[in-house]
Amino acid sequence: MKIADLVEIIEGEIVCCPEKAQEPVRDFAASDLLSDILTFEKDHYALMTGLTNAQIIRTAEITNACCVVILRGKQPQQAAVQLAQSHQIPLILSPLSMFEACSRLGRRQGQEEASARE
Amino acid sequence: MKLAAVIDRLELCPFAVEDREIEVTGAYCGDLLSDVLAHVEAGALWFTIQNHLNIVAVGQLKDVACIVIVNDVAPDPQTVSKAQALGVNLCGSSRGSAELCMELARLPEFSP
Amino acid sequence: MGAFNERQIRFVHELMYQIKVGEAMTTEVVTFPPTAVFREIQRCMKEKRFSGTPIVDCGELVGIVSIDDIITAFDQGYIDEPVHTRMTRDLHTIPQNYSVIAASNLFAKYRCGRLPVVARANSRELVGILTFGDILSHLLLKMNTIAERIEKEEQSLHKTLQGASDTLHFELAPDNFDLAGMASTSTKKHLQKLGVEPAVIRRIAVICYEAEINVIIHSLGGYMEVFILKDQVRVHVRDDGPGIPDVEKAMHPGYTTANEKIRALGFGAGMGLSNIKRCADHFSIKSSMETGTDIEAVVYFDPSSAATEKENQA
Repeated sequence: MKIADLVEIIEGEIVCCPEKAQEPVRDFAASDLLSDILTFEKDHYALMTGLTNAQIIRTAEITNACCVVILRGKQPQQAAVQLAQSHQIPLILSPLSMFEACSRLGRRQGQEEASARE
Repeated sequence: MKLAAVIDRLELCPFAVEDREIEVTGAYCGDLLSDVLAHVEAGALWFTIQNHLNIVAVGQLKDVACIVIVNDVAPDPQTVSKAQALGVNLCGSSRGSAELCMELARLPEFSP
Repeated sequence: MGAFNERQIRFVHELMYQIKVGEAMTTEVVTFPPTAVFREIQRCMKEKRFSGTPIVDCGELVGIVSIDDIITAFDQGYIDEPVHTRMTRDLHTIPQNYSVIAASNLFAKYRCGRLPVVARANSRELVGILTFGDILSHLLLKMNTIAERIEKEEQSLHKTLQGASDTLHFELAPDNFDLAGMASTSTKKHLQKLGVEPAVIRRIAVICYEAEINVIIHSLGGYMEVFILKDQVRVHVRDDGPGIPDVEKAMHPGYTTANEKIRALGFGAGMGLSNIKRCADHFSIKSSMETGTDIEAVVYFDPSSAATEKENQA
């Protein structure tokens, strides 16, 4: 899955670094607690959260996330957008709840796996 | 879909499960209690990283079907005893919220 | 970018205050006596390519003749007359001990391109001449010297670090949420430059970040030091208190003293210390209610020495 696909699936809007939309997303982590995300061990993952402050970008940078998704229709704080820009981390806004976003991604992954088997 | 089936399919670890036959009608994922209080619906499976006492109160208040503590976080002993006392279903999982939500959505019984 | 430009401008502005007129002026000045005729000066100007000259009588500045004065002389037909009757006597001068910012202000005020420089205030003793070009070239020279000095300093610092092991030091201010994570990001970048393996860098970065957040949320401030040795990285974090009452309890995942405001920011889940321990090959914590908290975490570059260390610790 590419970042562009993710944006489409979760009805998102990419507000920073749209030039990176063709990069791959290898995994997903969803949490409203940064310490929880800091325990995640995969690289190139989409960090999905309801938090809006600049520390989500720091956490993404430290854990090698490929993009950050702010859920529940929330708006990022200005500092978060600036930091995303300076670290070149795509920032995506989505109106969906965390579960709804994950479940759509899960179903899409299921479809992709099914078509790969055929 | 019944809670017993969800526990089975997602390989959840029951900490305090009073009613296995309760119908799971939806799901919510969130770690900020104020957000969960505002948005979780009755009958939902609630995934969270939080393990302290207050999650039981939120679970009872909103009539969630079951609280699932994710990422191998052990519940506080007080949390388990309060869940038992109040009849709030409480489980755990070694997996993360995103993974569990994605898998739940792929269960045929859970598809809309 | 905007902030950077502003900083540069402020730097130039400060330099303008520091540089004295005497440093920037041209001292080899062509002067003429009051008896010289306009045509003579005009020829000299054409030959030596300047556009104004002071008129000096017995070592004292008495006037100035500019290209405008020459043109007027041609126009009015007195080009072959001596200058003393027609030259500009109402002179604006600048003492050599003034800063060039004062000169720059005078250029703007009198709309002139050059100022005769005198030995001191209220003196008529000519010591040089200053144009805007003189100021600019001296400014560039000065900036160049400063840049060279900084480069040299950086090089010598780099040599010291190469000789010993590499050490990073960061001051951590309490309650400064916006800056939280800067030290960890810099550490990560530094280790990337050194070519450390990405998985090792990630563990160190998480340790630094959690420790940094802890200091910012819970303490009165402190510092973080990162020692980069041949086979390991040691992260040492020290804060000035108030100390952890029950360290064993604090190590337990989910134990927290953070308030709702901090939780709404995504912190204070009580996972910080256990997260640091999980990422480290060796971890130790000491806390005192009098002096504050000390944390040390070690990560080895080579997984086999890490395994030995973990066994020893267990």
